[in-house]
Amino acid sequence: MVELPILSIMTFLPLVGVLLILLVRGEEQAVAKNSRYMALYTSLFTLAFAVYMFVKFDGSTADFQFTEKGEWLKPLGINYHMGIDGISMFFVFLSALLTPICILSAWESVEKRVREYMIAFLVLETFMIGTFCALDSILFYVFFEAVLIPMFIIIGVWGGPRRVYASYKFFLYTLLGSVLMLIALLTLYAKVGSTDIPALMAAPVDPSLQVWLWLAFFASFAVKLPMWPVHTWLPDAHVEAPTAGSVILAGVLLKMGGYGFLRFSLPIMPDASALFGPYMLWLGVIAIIYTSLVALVQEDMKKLVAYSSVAHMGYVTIGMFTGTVQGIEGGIFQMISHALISGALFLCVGVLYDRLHTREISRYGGIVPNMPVFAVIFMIFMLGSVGLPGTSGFIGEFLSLLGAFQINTLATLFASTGLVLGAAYMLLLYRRVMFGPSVNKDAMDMPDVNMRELFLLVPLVGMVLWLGIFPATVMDRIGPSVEKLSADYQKHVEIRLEMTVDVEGQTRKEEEAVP
Amino acid sequence: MEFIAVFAPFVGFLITGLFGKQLGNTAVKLMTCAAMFMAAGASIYLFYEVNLQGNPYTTIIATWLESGTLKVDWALRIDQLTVVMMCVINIVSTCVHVYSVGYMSHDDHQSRFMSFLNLFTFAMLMLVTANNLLQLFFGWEGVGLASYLLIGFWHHKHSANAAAQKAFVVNRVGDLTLGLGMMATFAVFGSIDFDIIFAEASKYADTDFVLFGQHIHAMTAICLLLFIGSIGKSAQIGLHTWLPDAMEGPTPVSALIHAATMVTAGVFLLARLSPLFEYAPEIRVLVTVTGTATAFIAATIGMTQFDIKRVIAYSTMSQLGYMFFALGVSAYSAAIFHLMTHAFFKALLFLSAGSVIHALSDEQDMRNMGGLWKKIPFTYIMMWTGALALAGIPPFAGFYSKDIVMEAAYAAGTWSGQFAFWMSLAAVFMTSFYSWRLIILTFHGKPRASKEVMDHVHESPAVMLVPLFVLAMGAVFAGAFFYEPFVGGEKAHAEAIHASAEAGAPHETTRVKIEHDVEAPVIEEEGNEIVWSRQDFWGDSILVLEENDSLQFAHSAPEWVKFSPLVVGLLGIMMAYLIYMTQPGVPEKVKRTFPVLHALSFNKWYFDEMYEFLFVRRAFGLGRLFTLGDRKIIDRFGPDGGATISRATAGMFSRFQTGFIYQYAFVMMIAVISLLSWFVFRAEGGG
Amino acid sequence: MTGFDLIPLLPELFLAINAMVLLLLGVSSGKSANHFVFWASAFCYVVAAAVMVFFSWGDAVVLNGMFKFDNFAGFMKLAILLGLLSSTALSVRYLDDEGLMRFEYAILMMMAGIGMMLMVSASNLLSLYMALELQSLSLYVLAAFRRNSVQSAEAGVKYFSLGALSSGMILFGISLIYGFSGTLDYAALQTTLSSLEQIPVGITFGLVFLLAGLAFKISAVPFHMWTPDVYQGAPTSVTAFFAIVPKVAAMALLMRLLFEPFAPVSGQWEQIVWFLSAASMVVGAFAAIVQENIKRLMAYSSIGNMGYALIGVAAASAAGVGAVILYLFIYLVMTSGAFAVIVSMRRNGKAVENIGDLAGLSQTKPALAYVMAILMFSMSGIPPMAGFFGKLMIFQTVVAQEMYVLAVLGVVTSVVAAYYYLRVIKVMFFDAPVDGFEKEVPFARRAVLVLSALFVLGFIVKPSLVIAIAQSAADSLFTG
Repeated sequence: MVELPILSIMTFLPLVGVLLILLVRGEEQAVAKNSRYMALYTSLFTLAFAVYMFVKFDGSTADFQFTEKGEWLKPLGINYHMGIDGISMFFVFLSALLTPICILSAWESVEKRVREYMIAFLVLETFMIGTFCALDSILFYVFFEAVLIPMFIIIGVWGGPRRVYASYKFFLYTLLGSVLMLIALLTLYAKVGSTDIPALMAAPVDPSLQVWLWLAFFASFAVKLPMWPVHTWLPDAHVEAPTAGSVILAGVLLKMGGYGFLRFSLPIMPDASALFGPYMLWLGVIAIIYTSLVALVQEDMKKLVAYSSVAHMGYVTIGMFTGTVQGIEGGIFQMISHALISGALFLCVGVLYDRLHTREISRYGGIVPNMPVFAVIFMIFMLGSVGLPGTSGFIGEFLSLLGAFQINTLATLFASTGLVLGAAYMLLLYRRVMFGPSVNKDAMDMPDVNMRELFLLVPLVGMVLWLGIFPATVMDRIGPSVEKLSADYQKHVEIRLEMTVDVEGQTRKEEEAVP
Repeated sequence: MEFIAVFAPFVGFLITGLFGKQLGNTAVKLMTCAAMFMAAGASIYLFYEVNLQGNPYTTIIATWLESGTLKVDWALRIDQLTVVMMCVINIVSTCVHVYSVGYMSHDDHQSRFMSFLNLFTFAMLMLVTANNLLQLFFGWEGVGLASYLLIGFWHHKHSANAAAQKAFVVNRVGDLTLGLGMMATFAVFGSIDFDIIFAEASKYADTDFVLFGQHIHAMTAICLLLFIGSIGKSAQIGLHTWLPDAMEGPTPVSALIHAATMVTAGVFLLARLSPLFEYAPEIRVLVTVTGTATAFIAATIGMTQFDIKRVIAYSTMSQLGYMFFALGVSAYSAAIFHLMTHAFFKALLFLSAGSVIHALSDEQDMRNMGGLWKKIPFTYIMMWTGALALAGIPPFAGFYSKDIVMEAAYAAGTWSGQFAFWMSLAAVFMTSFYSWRLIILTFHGKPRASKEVMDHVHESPAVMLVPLFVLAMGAVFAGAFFYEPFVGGEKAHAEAIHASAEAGAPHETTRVKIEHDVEAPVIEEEGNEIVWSRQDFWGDSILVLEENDSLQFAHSAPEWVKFSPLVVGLLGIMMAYLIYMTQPGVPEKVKRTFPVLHALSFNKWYFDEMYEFLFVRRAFGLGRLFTLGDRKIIDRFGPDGGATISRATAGMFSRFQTGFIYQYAFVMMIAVISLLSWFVFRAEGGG
Repeated sequence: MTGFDLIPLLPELFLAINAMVLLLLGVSSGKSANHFVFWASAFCYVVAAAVMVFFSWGDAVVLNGMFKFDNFAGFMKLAILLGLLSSTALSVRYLDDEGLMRFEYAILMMMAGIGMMLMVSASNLLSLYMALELQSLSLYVLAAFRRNSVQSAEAGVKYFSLGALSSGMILFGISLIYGFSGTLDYAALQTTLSSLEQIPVGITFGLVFLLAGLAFKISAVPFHMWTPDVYQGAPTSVTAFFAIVPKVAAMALLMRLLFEPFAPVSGQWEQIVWFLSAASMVVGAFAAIVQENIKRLMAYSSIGNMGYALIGVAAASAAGVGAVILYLFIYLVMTSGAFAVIVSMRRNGKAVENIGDLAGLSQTKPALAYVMAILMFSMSGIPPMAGFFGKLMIFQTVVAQEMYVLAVLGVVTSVVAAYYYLRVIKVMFFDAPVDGFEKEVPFARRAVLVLSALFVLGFIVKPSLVIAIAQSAADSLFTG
């Protein structure tokens, strides 16, 4: 039978929407309205395809699926090669899921230059999906970096007062990282003679070279993730970006870093990864503690959530670089759940912002009585971010720490303090915003969430809880790919006795990654 | 059946939580209480089924988490220990539900309150029915959440919110160590399933971690982590600071969560994990000492507090201390026994206190009470009952449980056991002292409350009194009733064991396992009539190594050990009576003679201040520091610095652009010459 | 050696003759003919291009080895003609507005064009010099075309005097080379040089002078000083012309020179090129940051771009040359587009040249703004624009040669450069609009805009097309 190229369809469908929007004519209002609906429908179509992909996805194999291959840069033997496996599938899905939510969230809050806004988001969707589908490193790079363009525009045009600074910082910071990755990719191409990711995974790379390549990739992905100390662009970007921008930034763009580590660093440069793994663990630990403490003292809601994102990404780092199955799965799961939770948190902040037009925590307080429904929803996401069992947040943190515990117990001990700090700052935020005596009059008058906002938030609530109680939905699908990745990685890792167990002669060994 | 027992409250929570508004208060109250009655009924049935008939079982519901070698199920483990807990939880919870109907009737968010209560009960049940550490953790944090929600129920009060957050965060400290313990368990056993780890515990009895260089006894490490976890939840010394503040919550909450059930989760945890703790003697010593210290310190604090609820809170803490040192000396069943009786009489005390507060229109300071006993006689009696049980006066429940606990401690024959015994003896004195101090200050003497308050002091409605009565029954009879099955010695080879103990306990690790025939000692009539040996009662749900079986020796402890608590208790009562009834001047005098001691006790040994200084301030300070660090260091030398440097370079370059032709030409010539000279140089260098 | 065969020169001859005819026409019939002359010249370019396309693309050497035609030459000439065409299209309306509409302008451009086409084909140091001078002299005049403006005159003078200096260097270099090798013919030179086992220092010096002179033409650092001033001073349409075409021709000339006669001594010139390219990239990236005048900005941007192109030359491989050709072509298109926007920057009757004047363009003239944005992203080498692929090919070749330093330097400077390209976008999109530019954009200009934008965006769809052609052109240098 003829399999329809679903990945390409998902990738380029939004561009069709863009063309349609460009064709929209008429006076200001009509154009705005039409482009809103056009964008929404397009993204929903894409989502439908994503669901189809999700259903059709075969969770029993670690191979790439829905693969497409076509000539592209013939002279260099670089092909248009698309395909997904368990690792990338959910990121594709997330991209397709969050875009309509973003579009819907901006339904009323964005009045000026609606057409451009919608176009920017659709283009962004194309690039995001493309990034996760690409199976050719150059193709990946094209999408990966192209993402900067619409995001730059989004932050810069619809952003807050310091939007120019933020957008520049975001663009140049990430660009500087990724151009180094480009050199690394070309070097790989020169050595291996191919830019095809599966081929690269198969090809052995000289360890001494790996170190340099790894550092180059690190430069790119660490900034994207972001890891301490290259995280400072994130709070600025988040604070200045419009709500939807923050959602997509936290939801998908950050994940590109983690995805990159899993797609390139670990499989293609395993020796270097093993060499740097321990340091990565510690960087993750620092990120968790440092940024949690910073989040504790923020006065700006968005900044607080932004810093919490960095902390959560710390768990991802730790998880991934254990190289253990639990660790990596935990990392991926943490990314997925963070995309949902933190995206939703930004939406919640947006809900408040749309009403009071300030992100100052102190301007709120005691608004539970007039916004009971919102209070519940916000509470659930807050708890999810705290990592309460039963929410998706817990699974991710627990698994990544579990993986780390077997590799580097000490680091895990430190990292786990993040659980306490996380609880501290999130509860403080919730308490200062929602609870307390009703002091701010205007905060008292805020209406509860309307239908549209419910429509945005409730599905996310559902998913957060569902994934917390039945994580198998994700685990079953990522399992094989991760196990393969972990196994290949472990092959390259020398074994040191971390823990010995002697019971009547029988011995258990804990393996630890060491250079 | 177990599904009803566990999920009835959950269903109640879902319905009332989601549709509370639409249903209206009455419907919500009915629904939640109904759910609780069903659950209670079911659990009593299970008690008969499992404990008396003696056939424990486990129901797997679904797979929760599967990752690599880790596999975790949603499951209900219904064994004797679980069921005992279920009964305690469901019965007390039912009482509290009913009580709340009356107590909260003036509150306009009562439907939310009821559904939260349901939620809590469900979480607690999930905790006790867990068949693996992860589900236990789920319940563990679930109850934490419920307590957070309920402490902060009156969210317009700053103090309530602060207390709620404090409770959650301090608990989180314990939770995270529990989590680490779980991970350590997984690292050793490769599983966190109870069946597996219990079965294999003996196998890993002398396993070592190699951690930062030195060897660490795996069991010790695991148990240490798990124990610290339990400290948090059970407010043992060190992580106890949240409990007194938690009294900000409505009184029924204090009764249910912070007296009867949640705080005892730690005790349950240790009992549940007895198969592990049996192999970590050092930790058991630590448990004993911690418990003892808590029992003692809390009692000292209790003597000087004036907030009626805080007094009871501290007494709860100290009673938990008793349970812990019982666990420490491997008298797990005794601990559970005390847990049960304590659940009854402490809930009773709290609810009576609530009734007092209710009567005095939300006055909690005992200095503004007094002279109430004629006005609210029933509450007065209830308070007496609770106090007597607490003080351990026969035939009240407390007498049996407390005595067996202390005898076990004495009989354990370890230094820690002795320490526990003597300290707790002192604590007994203080306990009865502050109990009657409370009673006297509250009910006797001149009314110190304002006139109009005193005027509409009224006895609480029946809906509040009936639960009190039920609990009172428990407080009176539970002890005598369940003494034998819970902690009674088994007649079989008791002497043998005793003798071997006399001879100095044997040290090969063989476990005493009373072979448990499936069609147990058949008894159609009520199980508790016939004398019942505890091994039959507990089955395999609790493991005690033979040489640690302190309970066994406890039964043969000397007489004076058995009676000293009673005597001391009575002394305490007399003391209190003398001081507060006859010459009221004494407290002041005492205060002046031992200012330091009083200050120490009155300020709760300055734990809060210490933590505030050590952690909270530090955290915020560091936070601010790092925020600056981001801007002033990372950004300054990172992106912004880069930008500045680029601008500087740019300025330099553009300064070259003077616009003078001769200069341009000059530059060109220089360039050419330098290139030439470079080649000359290379030629010289033999390039 | 075919005797006196002029077929390969057909395009050049055609243009030359037409130039004369149009000159006479212009002289005879004064002002009225101005526009006609312009469009006629444009038409000539098209015809010349057509002639070249239909005309067999075999290699041919004529005029006793003075003139060589091959794929390389063919492709470069097409590029040049395209450039001429677009710069003509950009000039007309601008000259009208500025009151500079004189037919000489077109003639001069045509002359310069002929010079450039000859430069591409020059296969003898003499013909090289002749062609170069033909081109340069026309350019000098163009630079000073707005006689009544001091700036323009100054630009002309600077350009002329420094140009003369560079020509002197070139001549001196040629004479040195002749003195030590005894020939001026490329082929002969190649054989001679390859026969020498020890390169005489005279050859090296000659090469240095020659390269220095050519570096001036492509405005590579440190021979770039003239560029910003001239770009700023000259009329914008002239600046556009300067930026678009001569660079391409000079690069082509340079490449033929280095890869045909001087291939044997690549060891010598590689370092020079390395230095030139590195310096150009750095200066081009940094110096532009603080510029306010957009023409100056473009000047530095062109310097930087030449730096990138030189990377490919430094790689000294067929792939490298292919990359350079591709890069130049993309550069040519992008620059035409960008200048199409710049020449449209007119507010109440006079041209404005500051970046700040673009403020809010995205709302006053969206189409213009979007094209400009696309081009700017493309120039800063952000995918999926064509500019990215140009850089990609360049870096790929240099990485293949394991010249990592140059590669890293290249990408880092490209990030710095991105800053000022972004600045233009920022001004257009983020800033509040000032009163918009007057006049709708004339057709010719709009055509240039649209075509360049389409090319830049569409390149990704089938990149192999252009790349393949460029590569075949490059290969002809090495086979030949």
